[in-house]
Amino acid sequence: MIRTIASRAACRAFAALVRFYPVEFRRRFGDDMRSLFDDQLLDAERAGGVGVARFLVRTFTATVASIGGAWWDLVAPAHVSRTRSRGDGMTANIGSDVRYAARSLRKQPLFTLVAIGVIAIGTGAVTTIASAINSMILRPIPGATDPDRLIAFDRRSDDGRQGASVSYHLYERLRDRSHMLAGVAAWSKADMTLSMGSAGTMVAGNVVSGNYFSVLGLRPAAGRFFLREEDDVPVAHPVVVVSYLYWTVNLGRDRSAIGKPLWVNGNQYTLVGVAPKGFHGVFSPIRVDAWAPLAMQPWLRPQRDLADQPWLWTFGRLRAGATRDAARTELSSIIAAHAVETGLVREYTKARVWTGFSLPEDAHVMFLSFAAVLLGAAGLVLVIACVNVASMLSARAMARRREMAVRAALGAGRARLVRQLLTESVMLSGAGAIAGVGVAWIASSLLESLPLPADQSFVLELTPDPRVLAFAALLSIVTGIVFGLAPALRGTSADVATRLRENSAASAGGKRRAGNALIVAQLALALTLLVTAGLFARSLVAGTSIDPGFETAHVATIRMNTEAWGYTPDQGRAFYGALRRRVAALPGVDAVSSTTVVPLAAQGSSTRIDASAFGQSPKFTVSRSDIDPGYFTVLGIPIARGRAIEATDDERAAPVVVINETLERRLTASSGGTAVGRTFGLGSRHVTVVGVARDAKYDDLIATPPVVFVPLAQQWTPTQTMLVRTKSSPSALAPALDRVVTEIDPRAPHPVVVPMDAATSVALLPQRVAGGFTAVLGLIGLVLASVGLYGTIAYSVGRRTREIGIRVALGAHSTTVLAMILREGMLLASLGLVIGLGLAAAVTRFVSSYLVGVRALDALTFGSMAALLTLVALAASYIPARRAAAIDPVRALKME
Amino acid sequence: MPSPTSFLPLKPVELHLLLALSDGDLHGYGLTLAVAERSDGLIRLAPGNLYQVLKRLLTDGLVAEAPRSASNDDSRRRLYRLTALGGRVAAAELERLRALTSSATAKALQRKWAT
Repeated sequence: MIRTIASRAACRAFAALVRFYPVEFRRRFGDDMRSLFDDQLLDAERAGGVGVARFLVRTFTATVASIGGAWWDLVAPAHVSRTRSRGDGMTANIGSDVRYAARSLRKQPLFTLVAIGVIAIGTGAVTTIASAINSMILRPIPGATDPDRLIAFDRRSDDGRQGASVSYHLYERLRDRSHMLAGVAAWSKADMTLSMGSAGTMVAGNVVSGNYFSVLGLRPAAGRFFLREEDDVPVAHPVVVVSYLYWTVNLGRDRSAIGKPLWVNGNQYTLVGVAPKGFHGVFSPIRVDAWAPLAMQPWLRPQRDLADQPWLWTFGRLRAGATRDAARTELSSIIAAHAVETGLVREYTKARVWTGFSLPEDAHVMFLSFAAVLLGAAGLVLVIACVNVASMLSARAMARRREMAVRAALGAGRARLVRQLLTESVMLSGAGAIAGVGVAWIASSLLESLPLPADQSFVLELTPDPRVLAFAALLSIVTGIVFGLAPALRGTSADVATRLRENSAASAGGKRRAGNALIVAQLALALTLLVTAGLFARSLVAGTSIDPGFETAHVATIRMNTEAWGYTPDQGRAFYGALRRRVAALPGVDAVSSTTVVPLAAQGSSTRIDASAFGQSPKFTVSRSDIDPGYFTVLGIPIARGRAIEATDDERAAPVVVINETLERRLTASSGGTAVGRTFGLGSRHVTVVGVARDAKYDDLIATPPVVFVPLAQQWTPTQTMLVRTKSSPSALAPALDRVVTEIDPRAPHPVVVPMDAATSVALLPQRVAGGFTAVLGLIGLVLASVGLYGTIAYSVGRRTREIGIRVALGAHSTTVLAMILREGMLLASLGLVIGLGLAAAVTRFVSSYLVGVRALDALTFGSMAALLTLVALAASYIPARRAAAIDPVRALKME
Repeated sequence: MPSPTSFLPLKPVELHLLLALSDGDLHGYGLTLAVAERSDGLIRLAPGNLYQVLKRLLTDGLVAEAPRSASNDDSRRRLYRLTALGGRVAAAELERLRALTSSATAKALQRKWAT
């Protein structure tokens, strides 16, 4: 029978739930439970859709309860076996507290459900972000042995500002001379096209030293990793290891494929092994799917002498007893000695060492500061949720003062009563946290499915792991105690006699003040979130309306790397030339060009130029794009002075460049005049400026850097992005393009067409993510706060029914009553508004670096969000106010 | 061996599982089916509940894992078997229930209220 998608999803959800059982229980019964669930689901399916729904609800609630039971068995083993003792008094008390709390929560299912739901939203938001941070930075390499002892390192200049990777000679020296590291491995990137004979698949690949896998301590999922001799002699052993994912998707997890030929960039290799599941290289966000030994470098990246060029990234395993600092000192001295002895790249004399393999350290800072903004927003929602539940709990504690008083009269100490109430709130927050992990699970899978506009595949493994679950558990206990303690203390205060005499109508004024403070806090925090969301939304609008200086509509981009297809530079030139001619001849195509850098698509590259001929500080860094003729036409960038790059600027002609206006201003700052016709140093050559292009955005939407445009024909590079200006939709070009590529070379991988506006949308990705996230959180905060406000006003109206009845009996008009209650609500709202605006003004500073075209204290955003909050607060107090205005004095006075 | 009566009273689910196993070895799915049948569909065990009760019975030694046999249709699944102690405990529980149901008060109650 073909299982439906729904039942497969149900099985997966159940399997996910099973992971919450204690490890020992899960190991013993997990598989059996899953297959039992499967069988029961099949039975339920026979009873039709309603039967399945009923079965799922029953099973999932029972399972959640049973997870709690299984953990409880661990905490209080006395309870597991009835033949053993019942445990000491303390655990017995806790046991009865838990049972009592469970009973009392069950008695008010609506309160319990709402409270759990509110906590779930708060903890879910925080857990989602925490799990993203975890997967980007903290999660160890899948399958690695003892990952804490792995360190990555590179070269740094004395002041630590400039860094560089390592050359092959330096790598050998580090590997042979380090005593602190038990093994030093090296790797570098290489685009690969893998094929079993027919059309290939392009993947990100790595060339790695022979000990790469053994230093990581990985075990192959199938076959073996590289042997020592396979990395010794250049190109003697063409062998390759693929990822588990590639093996699964492209080879059907076929063990017999191992030992068989696999073509990499058109050369025949032998597939020797499969990396463990989940392993995709040591820089985890970029998904690597194939590994070849460094000795295969001449086949993978020919025409490069790499013995002394910095191109290798290095990591090693600390020997037992060695510390990071000792390793850094030792590596620094090896690097410094190498710089002195060889006289090459003298500026790098230090080693920089870092642990954690997911991202290089400078990327950590960038990612973390962005994640901190999101975590802050999520934290605000959690605080609102906690405050919300706290006000619900304190209302409940007030209602239960008599119950507490009776228990106190029967001999329960205050500490015992507080513990009882805390048990309830911790149980609530625990249940909320479990549901919150569920929320995080859903949110993470939504995040994972977000299409990332990038040319590399990313590994986004956001599923919460034990670390995140532990975080959620800790969060729930802390929040449970924090929001439960104050209500618990207040609910059990005063002496027994007073509390027994007290009746519900005459509760203390102190409660109201505290409750009001909680409402004001919620409103203020919600406003803060709303303002932040509003600023991001305005940034998005402003960002999309900023003129980048070029036209993105009707432009298709196609990124290709002929080296990864096994082409020599000559073959590559011929291929790109033929492709350009044929694409230009396609119907609906206006213009064709190529570039190494698509602006605003996170591809920027930089170079250093020598401007001493201009009397400028001799060397400085500029952004660089290598382009074909027609580039400025395709993108609609006007040439301000001189001419554009032309077909005659080929390898036989004198080296020329076009620069942008910013660079011209910079070059001619002291000499004046135009830069056209003048020369400066670029690499080892002197280039003549033949034209100046109008400024356009390059890396981001905020600033325009100095840019130099170099003709591709004078500086060969195998990785190019073809730009095609079309009459109709750019994606409509795909079939024709695919045909053209196949005509030129049937073995070439299928080209991927990305419309330019999609490619450049990555420039606003942080704003998009943060805007969406804070908008959702802000709305949740607003709903929570307004429901809280409604509850408070409604409660106050209920308590004052008698008073209002007397007022009406004495002649008060219903509009007077309406205004009186509305005033009460609006007083709270305006307090929340003032505090919230202040708080927002203090907080938005932290997001200002992500704002585009709008200031952190944007009056329009602050004003409109304040108006929104006022409106919602008005609505929330209007409903109870109307009820108050409709009070019938006769009935009100008869009450009580 | 501990005295069978020290385990009493059994929870209804526990008794049901022991009874189901007295007819022969069963795996998890078989157990839930047998219990559902025996209780007229009143007791439907979710996986978590079943294995939690089973764990307790295993810890107490009332049930043991059966060796995997060749005739077993699905070798992935574990079979469970009633131990001698388990049989004695179940018998003791049944005896307790019998004494309870056959008391004069119980009979009088049934005459008055049974539908």
